[in-house]
Amino acid sequence: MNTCVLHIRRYDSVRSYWQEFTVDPTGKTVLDALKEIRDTQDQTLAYRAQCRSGICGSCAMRINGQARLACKTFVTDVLVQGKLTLEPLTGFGIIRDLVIEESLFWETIAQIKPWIEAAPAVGSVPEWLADESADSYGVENCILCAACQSDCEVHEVKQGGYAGPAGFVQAYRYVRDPRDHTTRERLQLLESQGIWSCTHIQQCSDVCPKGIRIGRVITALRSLLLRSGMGKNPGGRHVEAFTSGVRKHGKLDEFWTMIRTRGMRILSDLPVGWRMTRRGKVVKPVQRKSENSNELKHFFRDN
Amino acid sequence: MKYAYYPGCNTEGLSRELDQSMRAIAPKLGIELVDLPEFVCCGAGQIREKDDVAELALNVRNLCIAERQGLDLLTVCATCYGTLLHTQYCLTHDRGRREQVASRISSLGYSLEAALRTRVVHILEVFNGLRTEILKQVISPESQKQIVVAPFYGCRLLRPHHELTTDFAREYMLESLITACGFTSVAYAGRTACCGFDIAFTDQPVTLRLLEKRLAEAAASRADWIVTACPLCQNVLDGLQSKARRGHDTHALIPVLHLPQLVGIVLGIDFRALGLQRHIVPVRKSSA
Repeated sequence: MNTCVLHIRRYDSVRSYWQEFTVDPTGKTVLDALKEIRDTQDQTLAYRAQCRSGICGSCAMRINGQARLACKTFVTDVLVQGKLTLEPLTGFGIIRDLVIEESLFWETIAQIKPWIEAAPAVGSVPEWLADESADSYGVENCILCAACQSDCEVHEVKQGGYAGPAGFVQAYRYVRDPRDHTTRERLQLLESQGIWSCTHIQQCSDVCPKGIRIGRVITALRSLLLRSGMGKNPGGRHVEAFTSGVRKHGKLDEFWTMIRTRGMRILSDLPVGWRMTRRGKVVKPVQRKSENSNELKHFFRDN
Repeated sequence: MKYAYYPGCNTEGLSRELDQSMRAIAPKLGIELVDLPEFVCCGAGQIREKDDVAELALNVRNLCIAERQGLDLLTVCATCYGTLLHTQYCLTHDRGRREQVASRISSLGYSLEAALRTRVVHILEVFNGLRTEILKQVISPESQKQIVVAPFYGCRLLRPHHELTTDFAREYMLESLITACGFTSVAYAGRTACCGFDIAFTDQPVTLRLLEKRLAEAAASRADWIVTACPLCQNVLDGLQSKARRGHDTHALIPVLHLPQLVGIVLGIDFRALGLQRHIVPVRKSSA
């Protein structure tokens, strides 16, 4: 018989440990293997699963260190040297074995208000948002499995006030829905939900089992914020300063981008700045210029 | 090997030592760097948030400038690399964007077809192809073996997966290069993780927490140095290291090297010619 070893992270509310199980991987999904272990080897093994078809999102877990759906992943596709590790999603509490405490996740999603606020009057939707032809990046396919949230490193370390990739996906879905009339409020809400704290790691886009381009969703939301006059904070100012420098000269203006982004916070950077200056790492206020950069003005939208 | 050399804004500014070290080692490895003063900033995913078509247009222009020379475009920056490949991905897969970009720039003589003909190359790929050549030129393989080097790829070199053409991390390209240079490479959790550069000016507490994790992981793997394929990762891993590790033993600070510096050291190039004196966490001359 063809066999492989599954290393499963166990937790029984007292201790946390690894346990090995041997199964025949032939033709099995990770979920099939888990069910077989529970049926034939250890009845106490706990995991969540429902539809077995990649629709309900219950069986997301870390498979070899990456969030995936157990029902959509064939064991033989992810085996490394005959082994596989299974852990609960990160960034959440654990109830038992592979079952995470979900209440915080649902609270975060609820803060984004994932429902339509009916439009009171025709014409109240800003023109640029009513454009349904704008790419949805697949947000309507989100199954709220929390895989992106688990593997988002900012979500892991930012203490509260962060909607995370799953929250941003929900926000974009309703922001671009022409039936909703609270677009401005939704965008304002995002500023207090950490939209400017994403570091573009793109782990979310890579792990999404539905192929949603989450990184581009976040970019699109930030663009909407700037176009609607929001983003009056370090995140928004950074994009504005970066862009205007390149538009003028073709090169990043490190000095003014830093000053305009940081504002008074630049004072707290002085110790680091001093250390850098001593080593000859100085950002100069003199702008470098690309040849023929005067033609660049045609590259940018006018507003 | 002749390339259209695209250093990138950070490499021409804050990380000048990266540019300096690249120019110092190129002749030793038979790499010819052609400077093209018309090159502009790639946008780094920042301009995209203000005007995504503009960022694509800037890179179409860059790619066309390389194409006119009939050369592949070589970058030493993971962020420039990712942004240039994002452009080619959008030109290939997104008809709407393609038309918008064309309408802004075609009257200026740039063509999308030319932009797609240019191959974008990261220096890690070039070094990877030159491993045997580097191995031949290594000056003192025995002393180098004692130095443990932790590889740090940088997000833009790896993700999003569907926009890229080479799987650097899965092919262990950085690890292989470290070994080819005669150093000892370590396996550690942080190799493909985030340094937090993007929000260093906007949400620095989060950057510091990410850095703390990365540096703790590298220290736990007993790394003497970290080497990175992205100057932006180097900026914060080096520049903000003592801030992120406040309260920890300052003797345990880990120097963070740019890729061409690591190669330059084993080729016996002078310490200052590689710009190693410019690091905030000092690289000791004796170990280099």
